[in-house]
Amino acid sequence: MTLLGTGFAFDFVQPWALALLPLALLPLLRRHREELAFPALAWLPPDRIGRLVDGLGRVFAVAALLTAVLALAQPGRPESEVPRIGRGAEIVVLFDSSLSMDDEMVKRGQLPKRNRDSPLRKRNIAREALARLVARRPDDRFALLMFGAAPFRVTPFSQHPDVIQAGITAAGVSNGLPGTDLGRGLLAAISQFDHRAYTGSRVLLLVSDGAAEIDDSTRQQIRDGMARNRIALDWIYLRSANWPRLEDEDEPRPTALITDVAMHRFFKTLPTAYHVFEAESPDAVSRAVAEIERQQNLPLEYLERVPRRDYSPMLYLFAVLACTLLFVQRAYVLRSWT
Amino acid sequence: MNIRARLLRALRGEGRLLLPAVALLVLALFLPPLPITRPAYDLVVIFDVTQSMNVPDYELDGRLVSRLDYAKYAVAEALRSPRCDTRIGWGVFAGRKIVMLLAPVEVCGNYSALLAALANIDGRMAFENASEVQEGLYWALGNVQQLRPVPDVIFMTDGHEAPPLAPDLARDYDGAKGAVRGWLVGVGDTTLKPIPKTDADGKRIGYWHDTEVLQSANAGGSSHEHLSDLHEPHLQQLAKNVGFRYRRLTDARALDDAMHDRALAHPAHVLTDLRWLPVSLALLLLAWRFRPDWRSWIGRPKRASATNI
Repeated sequence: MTLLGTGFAFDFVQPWALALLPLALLPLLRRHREELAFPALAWLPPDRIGRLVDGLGRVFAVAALLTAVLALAQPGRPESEVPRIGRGAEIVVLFDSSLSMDDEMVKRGQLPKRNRDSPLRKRNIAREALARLVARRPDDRFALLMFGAAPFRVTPFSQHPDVIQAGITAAGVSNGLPGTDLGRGLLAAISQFDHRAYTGSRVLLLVSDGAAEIDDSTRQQIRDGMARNRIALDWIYLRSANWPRLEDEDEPRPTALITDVAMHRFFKTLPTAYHVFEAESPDAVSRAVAEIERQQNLPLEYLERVPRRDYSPMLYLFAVLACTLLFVQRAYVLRSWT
Repeated sequence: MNIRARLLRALRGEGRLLLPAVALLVLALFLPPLPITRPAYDLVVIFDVTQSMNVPDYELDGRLVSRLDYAKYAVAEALRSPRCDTRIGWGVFAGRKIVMLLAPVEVCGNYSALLAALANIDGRMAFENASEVQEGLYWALGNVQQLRPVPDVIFMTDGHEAPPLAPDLARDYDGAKGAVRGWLVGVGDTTLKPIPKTDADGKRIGYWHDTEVLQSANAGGSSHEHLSDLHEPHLQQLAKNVGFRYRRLTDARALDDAMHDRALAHPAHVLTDLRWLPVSLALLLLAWRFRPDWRSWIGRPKRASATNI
């Protein structure tokens, strides 16, 4: 239950408790069992102080009941969001979930193995680096997508770090998917920014080991989308072992590398900023993430969640006070002749 | 009159109710949230997102909705009164595998984000056109065991195998039965309906025809795999194979029961605000103290008197 007043909001956790409010009227009723019998009233002088003390007693009693009932209903200011300017970015993470991400990342000269439980799996390395990135940047807003043959919109933008972390955990559990449709993945990631007010730097963080082809019409759509939504592209390229750097080769020979270099060259033609972070070891992935962190420190308008404020402690205090005063008042009132 | 005498006077009669009331209110003022052991749930809900789940078998607000949409609706309904003792995550099934989307997260702090993620689940997530429910279920059980703690599974499907499961391919589960607990929830109706066909972007492009799908060789000429209904006996068998319980999704209530199945609950210490307890007692004492004088309402002649509190 929320009551919106003039500029401030107010709600109750247990609004049903308000049904007990009539209890607060009980002290106002007459009670014969507390009457003192006088043989004759006409002889008595008017007792102003007596009336005052009696009135005060009623006030304290009503206040005690009223505050206790209100405390039971737990009034408070509901959780709200306050716009603030911080430093950070809006980051869409596009996580490659293809089969090759299950390969191990090994040192130069060693043969990569596909081992589901290895901590060296590219998937696991990338996942851990991302989890650290999200944990260290509470002001950033993250959205998460995975892609294989189809894009998976895991979570839209949110400031619930737990949910993003849960998505990153899940990405480590999932099985490699057949197919790598990077084009549709990128378009889905770009569309996360559609109809969203521009509040600060926007990044599409692609975590992929490459090997994806994009056709020409999709390329054009990606270019248009990146420009329209003003998104910078960061690619953490989990390089397959022993492969040359993307820039080194004039004309790459291994077939898989051809597509990676083609991806890289296409990204360079994007109208917005593009960085590639080539990583062939867990350390290199960490360094890439640290570098991205350093870059993305522009002012960002974000909403700070102000947690609910509970007013009931104040009411408990008033209730205690009212009850104590009531007790003191009793000490000054004659109860009976005996 | 000295203080002691006054105190004694205050404590006389019904005034002695005031002291415990004050004590209870002071207790409420300083009572921190206490860890209470309550049943808690760790769940992964896996949605079948294959095309047969597009069959509009359910009605919602006077509108026909697909099996998948109704399954999502039922899950959202079951979460409506978010219980802080539940952690829930999402996964999708297609082909013969599942994709885990969200590992279980605590419900009440992440309610809106969980619902937003749930809303994103649709037929476009079908990464393969096949729908091998048996293999998908077995695969899912292996997958969730990588999560810590191992969650219980609610697998929501119509049981429609595509390609049809030949009798010699129906196999027993080779993992440890009972290592993962859960429910197999049958989504759909028992009357055959045509299956809407969608393209990769989720756009409707007519219906599947009998010549476009693999028909069952064993049924002779009567195979109708292009039509779909809830394959309940198949799902009941699968549930038995993996030690799950089976339930048909007849309404949102059915899922709520499955999700809060006491057999799946594990004890968890949940910080609970118990201040209502002393306050209610204090309120009771005060109300009793100021209870109306019933006799005065049944017509006793009024006396000239002075009352006091």
